[in-house]
Amino acid sequence: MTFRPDFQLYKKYYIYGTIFQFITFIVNIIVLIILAYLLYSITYAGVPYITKDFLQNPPSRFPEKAGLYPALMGTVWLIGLTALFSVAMGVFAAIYLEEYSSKKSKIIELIKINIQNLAGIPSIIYGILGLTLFVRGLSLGRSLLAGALTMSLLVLPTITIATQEALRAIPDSFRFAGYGIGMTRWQVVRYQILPLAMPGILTGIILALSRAIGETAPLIMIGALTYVAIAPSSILDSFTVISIQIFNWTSLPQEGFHKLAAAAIVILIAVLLIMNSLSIVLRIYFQRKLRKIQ
Amino acid sequence: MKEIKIQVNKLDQNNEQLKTKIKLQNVNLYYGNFKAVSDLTMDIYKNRITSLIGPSGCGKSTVLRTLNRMNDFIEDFRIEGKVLIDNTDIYDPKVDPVEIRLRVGMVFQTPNPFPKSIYENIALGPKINGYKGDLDELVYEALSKAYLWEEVKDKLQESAYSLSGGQQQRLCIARAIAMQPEVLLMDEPTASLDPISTNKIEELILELKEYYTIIIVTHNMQQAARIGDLTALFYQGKLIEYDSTFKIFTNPKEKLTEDYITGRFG
Repeated sequence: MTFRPDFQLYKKYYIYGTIFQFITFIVNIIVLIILAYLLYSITYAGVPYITKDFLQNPPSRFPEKAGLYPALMGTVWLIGLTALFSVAMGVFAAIYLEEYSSKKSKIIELIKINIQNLAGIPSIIYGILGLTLFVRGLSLGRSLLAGALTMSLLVLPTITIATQEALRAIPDSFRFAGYGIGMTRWQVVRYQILPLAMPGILTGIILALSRAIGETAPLIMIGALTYVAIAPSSILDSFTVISIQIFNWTSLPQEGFHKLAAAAIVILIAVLLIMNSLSIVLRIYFQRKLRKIQ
Repeated sequence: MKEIKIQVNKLDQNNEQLKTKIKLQNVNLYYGNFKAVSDLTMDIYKNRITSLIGPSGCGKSTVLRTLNRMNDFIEDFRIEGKVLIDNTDIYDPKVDPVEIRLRVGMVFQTPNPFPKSIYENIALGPKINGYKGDLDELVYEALSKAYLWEEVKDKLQESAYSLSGGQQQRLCIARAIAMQPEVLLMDEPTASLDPISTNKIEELILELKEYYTIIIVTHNMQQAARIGDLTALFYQGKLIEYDSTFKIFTNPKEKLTEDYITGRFG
């Protein structure tokens, strides 16, 4: 029996292919349009209200006097502290899981699965945990420290998973190259694995932190939704952040506050876009550097 | 078990004294419940090239990786018996595997230079192990011994990945040499290289036996015949025959050996 290709059938598959390609294209366009509309409407509503006063004043009962300064500084403090607590912990945890722990251990397997689960838990649950553990349990009150610790719990799984993936992407031949000339495990991690995994780790960290910037729910839970007139100057000060200020302003009845909320959203989105671009630039930079040596 | 004895006087035409470097005594190697190598007893001789041949899955690479404890990284690997290098058991709990790997260097099937400059590839190992001498001198020596110096002397700071596959493999050999090991293990070092590069590596290996005890796993029968002083044939986890390469290829004792080297199986 000889096989004769059925050209009619081929034609049918070409048509299917074209339709499929069209659908994937349209989906992209829809997403782009939504994003563009969002950016446009927010920019249109908010940009006129971004003034020097807006960036330097504390919030106020009067829309024309109200500003974002304490919330802006609160966000900077919060993200800085969160990075301080979570980055080293997340990266170290991932290095242990991928480079040191026994691949066969059931306990390690369980830990890995649960880190994945933690990354999917709604952020408000972390807020409740933070309220019980840090605000009340450790009596930190509604301080920046309590907020940053709560946020660290929230981003820790994300950073750990990103680092794990970056480490897993490195072929074993690089590890064996090191062991083959008598390197210890520490030397292999330090001189072989970490330099290669760095771009992936950095990207993961930045994406995790930019998630933290936009989070509101857990911070409301631990009581950051209060009137804060001055920027924090120590980690035990009370604080507020941009996302909470937006939430606050939109819940007020006066029209003027809604415009300020739009302005604050523009600032928040700008910060997010800058951070995400930074992660992309870093990734491209390191990829290029790696491609040069590979 | 059948005793396999090397007749020393037939090994070298000039009847040189053979010194044992590595002694395997009744070694069994397991991956979990699977017995990969059974009841292996063989001596490996100093400043000689020993080729391990046999069909895929016969256990020859497992044996090779046993000699510098690279199998330690396979979690369910288990060893019974003794592996002695200069009469010390390298699987003694008191022995640090890192120290063994410093004494027994390894070159892998696919060239795997560090993602660093050519210079750093050689210098990194000695540097982090507290080498106090002149690093430039060490790099020069290792690269010259690997016959790579002339080709790379003007681009030492360039990435190791700018080199061709054959050059990369010679760099890996140079990297191993720079650690000044006593034994060099080579796991099919030319399997991914073209014939010209293969030829260069083979010449290099022949030169290096003056300084090191070399054990090479190869799928290439001609390669074993060209460079090996001794050849060991493995089949299904057993050492079938171990003798001087000349004897193995001209007058093997075992039917299985004859079948294998004439290409009737494997």
